[in-house]
Amino acid sequence: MISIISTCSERLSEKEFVDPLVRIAKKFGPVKVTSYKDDIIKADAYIISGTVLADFDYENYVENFSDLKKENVLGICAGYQILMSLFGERLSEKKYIGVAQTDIGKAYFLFSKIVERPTNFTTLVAAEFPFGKIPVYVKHKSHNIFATAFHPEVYNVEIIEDFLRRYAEGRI
Amino acid sequence: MRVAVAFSGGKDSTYVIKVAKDLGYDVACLITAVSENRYSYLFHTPLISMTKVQADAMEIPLITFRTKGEKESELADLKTALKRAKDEFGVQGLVTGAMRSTYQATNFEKACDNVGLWCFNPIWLNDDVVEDEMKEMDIIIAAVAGYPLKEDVLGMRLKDVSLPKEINKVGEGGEFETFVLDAPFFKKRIVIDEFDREYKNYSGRIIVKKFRIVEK
Repeated sequence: MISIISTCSERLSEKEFVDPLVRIAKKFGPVKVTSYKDDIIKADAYIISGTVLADFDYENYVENFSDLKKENVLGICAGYQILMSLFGERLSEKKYIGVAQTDIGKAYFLFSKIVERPTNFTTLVAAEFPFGKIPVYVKHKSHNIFATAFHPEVYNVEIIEDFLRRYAEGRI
Repeated sequence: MRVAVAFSGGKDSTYVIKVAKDLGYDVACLITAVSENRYSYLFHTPLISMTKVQADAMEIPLITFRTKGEKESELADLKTALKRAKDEFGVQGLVTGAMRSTYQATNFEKACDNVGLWCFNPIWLNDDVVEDEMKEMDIIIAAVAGYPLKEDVLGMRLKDVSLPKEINKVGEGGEFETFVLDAPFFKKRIVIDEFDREYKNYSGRIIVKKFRIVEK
């Protein structure tokens, strides 16, 4: 079972940030979508979605995600911010909208907060921004917890596919 | 939430009006850019003057703004129009038909962020949406821009056109542009009685000579 947790407070934004993830995840197993306001359900792998740049309601529900600290998780954009907050990383107010070059090619970004120097996470990919080179795809040093500050569903689908192949494929 | 829709008259920007309405959003106005650059990446241009006719058929107010269609000025002109939508119609968000173009999405996101609006792209990355669009709406081909689309497809119903396999079925690469004559939320429908075709070297458009708005 793959759990996709929406961080969207508006249904219109779920069409943009959750539905594309569901279309990708369905290729790897059964998918259940829940909201950031719901209790965490039991699953083999979890993807926490992004949301609209102006949407911050999920910040009021970060504690809802505490049970995920030892699970297989991929956090995307808002999902990345939730995971960073859960593990006590310091988010800086930096905004970037659009495509930027990373170590693995171009990626699409839509963020207003980012961790410049993570302490509990290893950098897998970094990107060059006008405000400096910053880790944008990270993995927790002890757990199978991954986070991208960009939207891999746009140009880097293989990141989502690799994650699901590793932790969800073949499981019911 | 009250929203505006970035409207070009084509299938994608018309379909997102339906998506927003179906989800309970109040579509307070449409916003159309009249670009002097027919090759604008941000704003689609065929039959743009007919968007007023579509807005009347939908009974939704329309804001139009002129832009030179240059990269530098397009974004500034869009911001001005969004401010107007916010002030005059009290909208809190903009809905767009962006599907794959990060250039389009980035510009809409930046403009919304600048004026304090939520930006929604409900058909983003949804390549299959064209099937629903053709099921729900009466769509014609308004322009073509690329081999091997020939002159005879101009003005044809999209559902009746057999697109060659090298053409992206949603037209997202700009291979063709569309115009919507009717949709479930239109109060009246549009009938084009007479049009000319302007076509050369696999690039062309229709020019509407006579049309009517009729009861449904």
